[in-house]
Amino acid sequence: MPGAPNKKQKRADYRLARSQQDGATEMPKKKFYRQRAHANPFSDHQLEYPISPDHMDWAPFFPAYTADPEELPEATASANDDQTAQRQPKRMRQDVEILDIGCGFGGLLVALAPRLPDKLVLGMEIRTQVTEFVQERIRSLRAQHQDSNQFQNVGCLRANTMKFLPNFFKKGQLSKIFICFPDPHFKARKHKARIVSTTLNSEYAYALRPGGIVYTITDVEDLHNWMVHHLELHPSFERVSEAEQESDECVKIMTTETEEGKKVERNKGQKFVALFRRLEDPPW
Amino acid sequence: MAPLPFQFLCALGQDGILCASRGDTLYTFGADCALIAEHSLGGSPATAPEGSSNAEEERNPAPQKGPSEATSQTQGTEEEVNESATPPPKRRKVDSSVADVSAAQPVGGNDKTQAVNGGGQKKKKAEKPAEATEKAYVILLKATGDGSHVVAVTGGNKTVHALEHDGKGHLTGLSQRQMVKRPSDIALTADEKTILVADKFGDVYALPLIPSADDSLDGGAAAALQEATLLARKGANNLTVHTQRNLRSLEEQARQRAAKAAQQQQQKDAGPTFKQDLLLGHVSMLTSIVAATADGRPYILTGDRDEHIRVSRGIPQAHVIENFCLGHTSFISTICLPRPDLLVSGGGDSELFAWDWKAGVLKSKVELLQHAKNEANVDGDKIDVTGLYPCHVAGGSGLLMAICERVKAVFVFKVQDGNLVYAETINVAGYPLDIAFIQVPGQQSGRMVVSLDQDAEGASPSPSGLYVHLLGNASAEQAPVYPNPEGGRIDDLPRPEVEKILYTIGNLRKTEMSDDVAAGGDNSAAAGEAGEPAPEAAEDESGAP
Repeated sequence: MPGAPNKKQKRADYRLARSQQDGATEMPKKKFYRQRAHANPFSDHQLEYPISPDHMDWAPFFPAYTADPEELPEATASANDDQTAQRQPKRMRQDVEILDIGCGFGGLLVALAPRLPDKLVLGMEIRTQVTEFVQERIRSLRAQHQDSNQFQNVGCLRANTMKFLPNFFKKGQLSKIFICFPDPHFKARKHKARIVSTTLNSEYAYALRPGGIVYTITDVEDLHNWMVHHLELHPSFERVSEAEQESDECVKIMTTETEEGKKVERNKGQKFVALFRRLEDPPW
Repeated sequence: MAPLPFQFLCALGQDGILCASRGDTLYTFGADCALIAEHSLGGSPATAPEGSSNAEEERNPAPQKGPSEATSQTQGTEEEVNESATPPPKRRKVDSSVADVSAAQPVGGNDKTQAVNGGGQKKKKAEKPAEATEKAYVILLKATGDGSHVVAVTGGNKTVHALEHDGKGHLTGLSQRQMVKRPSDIALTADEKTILVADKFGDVYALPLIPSADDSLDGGAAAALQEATLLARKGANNLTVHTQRNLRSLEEQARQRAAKAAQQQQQKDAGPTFKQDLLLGHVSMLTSIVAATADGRPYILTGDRDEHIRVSRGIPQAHVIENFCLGHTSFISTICLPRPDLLVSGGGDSELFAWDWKAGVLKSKVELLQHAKNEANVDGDKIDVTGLYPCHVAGGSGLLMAICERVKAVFVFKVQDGNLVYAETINVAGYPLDIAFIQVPGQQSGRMVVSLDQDAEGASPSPSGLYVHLLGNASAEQAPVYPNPEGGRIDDLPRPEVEKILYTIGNLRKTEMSDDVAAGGDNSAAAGEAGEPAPEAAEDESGAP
């Protein structure tokens, strides 16, 4: 395709320039990070993912939340053994609790982070370029708010959540999962690629603690019906009442602050919101 | 050309009867190793022409008549196939050589495919007879603990066959159920009344072993049908698309949908005509499934190509995930339970993993590659474990056998104190394909039967390729020999074809390729990871056995 190498070059130049800039406070430009809005969740890609949640090193994503060695009594014991210390990722003072699946350009993340200052918010995005953008965006925001220490509780990484969610999160680790404007996959043959499905909901239920909430929003009515149908059908979830939905602050943020949400607004489209609560597992 | 060897084995009950599959035929051997009977699974009608007595006998009575009848209509020339009103999913199974070319070509799409593929299509056509027969071969074989029933899966037509065993080596077909996706492993629940079918698309279905009459097209299937029609109405609307061009195509779609509606009505019976409940699913190719029991409650353990072992509750709460056993760094190909509380898994890693599956905790890793290098002349630093076989017959109790793809050895491990310990390597004359343990009444030691493939040099290990190893103290005695059955149809295939059928596990290994390559196709230049081809690849039948 003509022009493509040129684009590639421009992007490389831009990234180089940014990386040389120390403490870049300037926000990254979206035009250097755009990527086709569809990714194949079944493909192998070249993903980096931890073997298990215990192997996950969160320190690069939340550097302000790594536990100081003195704070942890066990740390002294492990310090003796250099090898295990190297292999064991740094301990965190707290775990990620809020997840945005398919965070896109990170509108929701940066809106949520200041409103939930005592929680760690993570965005997961399958597109490399877009992930990079969000990471740059967070870097800039952190640099801009050095005094207030804001945006230290937000991070973004590249992942295929449909395949590797249990590699990142322990059972019941999360309290909120956001699924905002997912790929609708209109063709019936592609429905298995949808982010909400009967079988995949079991994995969300696994990562969510009882009482945790799945937030869904889409501008595609059919997809909305699909998500409602499949989440309601799943015995581990119940739909949150309209009234409670209205009073949830996150719903407002989700509706107005996501990039897609803004785009739908511009196009005067509809938005369909549905919330689902994770129920206690039945006795076994 | 090379004859197909015996591939899958299972013991039927405690009377020393062995069931072995070769191609699409099941053979039973008695305790004295004599051949008792053959039972052809008929395969797809393409392989068993109308009037072939063998296939006709196996045809089932009323409820199952539906699918087999429908499929037999589709045999014959492609022109006929095109005109027949059979629904697309089924056609794809029967007419697999065409389906291979264009994974999900809708009805009437064949002409286009031919045009597009030109010369290539001709070649495919020439190969068709061989390929069609290959497709109907047995790919999975399991028997109930008491040997009263056998479940076999044939590949090409994705059909689950349930058979009854009279206890003396004679099999009778009970039912044939055609799955939508190719099964990759099966297991029987603890009560042995339900077959758990794991498929290439990552889903697990529960099928009653013996379908009752009122099960056919019951609520579940009907609901699925209803959903299918519901989905037909789904799509974008003028609020979700904005560009003029998209709006135009939306109108076009609406028109097409209206035309399709009538057609859909006809295709209604395309859905499953038997009871199958979706229990759980991975977004990955499932490679292994076992049913487990702990504290009197059932569990389902599933292993996939993306290194996960999932522990789910059993029926009826299979939607609840208890935990994951995570630790593998390459695909998982097989899992087993040598003891109810001990899970052993193997695949592309150089070790076997022993788990406390209930807690999701790795107990130990047991080296395998090093033994393969030292004792079985394996060079290279990768092995692909194809099978793990816990032994419960006399003389071998507490042993676990492991075999790897293209490694002429059986690796023996001991289960000790709830853990796994390497014991010895038994060298064999060919590549091992499957293992069954046979308990012969009145004898002190059981038999380990290994089905062997002739090695690359073409040296035949034994006439039948069934190698017998006596367990325990009896290993000095003369091992009995299974005869090579003369009767029946033995397919002679080119050696590469045979290898394609027998050796499928190594293909599960992920290749180190960049996203651009992974995406492939025409979109890769425009965007990093378009990746259209992969779902087809996942669905494609040629990908696995």
